[in-house]
Amino acid sequence: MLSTLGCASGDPVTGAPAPLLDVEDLSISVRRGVPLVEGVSFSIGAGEAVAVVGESGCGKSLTSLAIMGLLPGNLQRNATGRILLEGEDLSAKSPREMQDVRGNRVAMIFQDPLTSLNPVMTIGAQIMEVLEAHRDIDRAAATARTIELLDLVRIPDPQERMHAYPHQLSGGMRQRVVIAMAMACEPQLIIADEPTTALDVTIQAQILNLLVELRRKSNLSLMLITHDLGVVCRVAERMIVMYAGSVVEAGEVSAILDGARHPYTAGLMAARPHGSFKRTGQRLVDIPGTVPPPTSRPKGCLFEPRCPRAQEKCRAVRPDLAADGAGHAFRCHFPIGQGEAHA
Amino acid sequence: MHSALELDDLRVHHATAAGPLKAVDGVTLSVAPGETVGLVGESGCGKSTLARCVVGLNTPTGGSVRLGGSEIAAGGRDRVAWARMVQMIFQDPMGSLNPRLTTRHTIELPLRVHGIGSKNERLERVLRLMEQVGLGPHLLDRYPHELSGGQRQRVSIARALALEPALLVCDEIVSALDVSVQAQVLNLLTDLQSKLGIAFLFISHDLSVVRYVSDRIAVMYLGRIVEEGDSESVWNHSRHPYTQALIASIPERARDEKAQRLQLSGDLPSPVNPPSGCSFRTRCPYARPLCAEVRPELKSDGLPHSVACHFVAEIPELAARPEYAEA
Repeated sequence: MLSTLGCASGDPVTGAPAPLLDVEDLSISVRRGVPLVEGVSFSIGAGEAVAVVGESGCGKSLTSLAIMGLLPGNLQRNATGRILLEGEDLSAKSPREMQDVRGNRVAMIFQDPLTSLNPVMTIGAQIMEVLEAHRDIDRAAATARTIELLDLVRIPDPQERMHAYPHQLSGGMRQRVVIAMAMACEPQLIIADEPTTALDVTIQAQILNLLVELRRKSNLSLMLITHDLGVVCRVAERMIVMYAGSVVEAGEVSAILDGARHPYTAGLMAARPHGSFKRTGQRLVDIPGTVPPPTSRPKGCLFEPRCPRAQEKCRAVRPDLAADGAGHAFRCHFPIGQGEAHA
Repeated sequence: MHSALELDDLRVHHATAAGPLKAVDGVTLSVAPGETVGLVGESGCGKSTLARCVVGLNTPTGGSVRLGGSEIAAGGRDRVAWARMVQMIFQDPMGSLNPRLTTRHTIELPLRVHGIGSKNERLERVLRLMEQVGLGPHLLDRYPHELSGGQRQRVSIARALALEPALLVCDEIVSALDVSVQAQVLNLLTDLQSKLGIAFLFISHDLSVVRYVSDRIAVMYLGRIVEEGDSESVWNHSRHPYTQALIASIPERARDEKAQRLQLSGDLPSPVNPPSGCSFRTRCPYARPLCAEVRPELKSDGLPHSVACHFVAEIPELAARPEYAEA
């Protein structure tokens, strides 16, 4: 249905070179008729940063877990589609082989550093564990590399700090440790799932700068999952907007933020608090209603029940993801026109 | 007319093995009837402790809390009267709603506790409250787990409104919600305020949310207010280096590159052993020896609003800071 969005030989939508990661028509369901993720396709080029944006329950985290081969068993069995890393099909790999991919070629950073770190191991030991699992490396070399990594993520005094336990570090420092672990084996792709959501805004700024800097230094690809459009433009070049398990808009970050074509994307942008109510009396443009649960998704366009532009056709026919000439794709029968002001 | 809330030199010190933890250390703040005051700050700055003192969940160790002009003694017999004057809404509605009570019973409970109305009158009132917060009557007998996040937060708001308090304390009430639902709840709050004339103490870490809803903004750092004044004045003409860093840290398209140059280094110091003098000095680019010796007080000499900084006269507005202006 949307195989036009990326294949191993290159991406016709963006014209990018053969991608590092290619997700083709990924669907994940609990059981027949209860789809959580439907026909998601996208690709990430070498050295590229792609943001996946959407609200709770849109399937952005499930998509990343599918790439990592970390879906719960019942969902894994009902997952279809292909996930290609440098042309190799990850979905065909055994759990043993996937263990080698995880941490080594693709690494993941989760939202809450306190739950992704082991509370009873020092941070140094946790980073060395990653190195020893994937590399044939002796103690001394692993220690040296650990100090180098802590220094890379700008943890002051790494020789001392590597003996600290997670509870002895602040939230920002913990997230730096998690990033150091992800960087340990120099993966090609890092998937960061809401990496700064649990952090204070001044610490978030530090961590985002660190991610941008690490990418520049090591030609890393980044898949950044977030709900915050501000974070998107700080870090990513391309973005994918997901709603109720499917991709509704994809393209260059600047193109989408300058002129969203899908009403949901436009709604997300307009709903951000801006200005002062007390000064202007202007209400925020909210999106009425809620996301349809997977058990009762509409037959037509998924966004139709909440869409201010919905028409008869939207109720009957689910639109396909179609791209304009410039690599900007959107799933809408009546997209917001170019140049048309959206609220 | 009395202020809805007056805090005078409020202090909350906890004894710890390492010395006193000064969660709130001398805060003076007032909220006028029908006004929204936004309290902004990062985790650990004491904003939630302050909120809990206002509703009587924490006992201040110094200073006073006055509601509608009358002083409230913590742990006193006027706990019931207190609840009629101020109610609180929390961040996580799933954690603050009883999972075994339906919407109807949750909203009705404050009325029953206070012995208001007959059974039928209470049901009528519950339905009216639900309508006010945008909940359909079909949700009357639903349990919290059967509601969406936004609906749950509306139930919390209806429950808080049941006793018609003059002041609502909102502690991070939209932080756990998705952007589109967050906008719905913020619109609901501003609607309710213009209809009912309630005052809000609106606490959040998100400065753009606080700016949107507030008449006035107070910025907290390590238990003290460092800048306070008219919302637009604080947002557009902030003078405290901490407020400026908070604004510059908001990831936003127009400001990306510039923001990097204004980034704060380091973390919040421990409130158990806060730096001497000005507690922000360890992260402040303008810090001088005086800052370590004397704690600056909040004052507004010749400024449109109050700032607690010794060198405020030398600190340019954010837009004029050399690090921030176009390179």
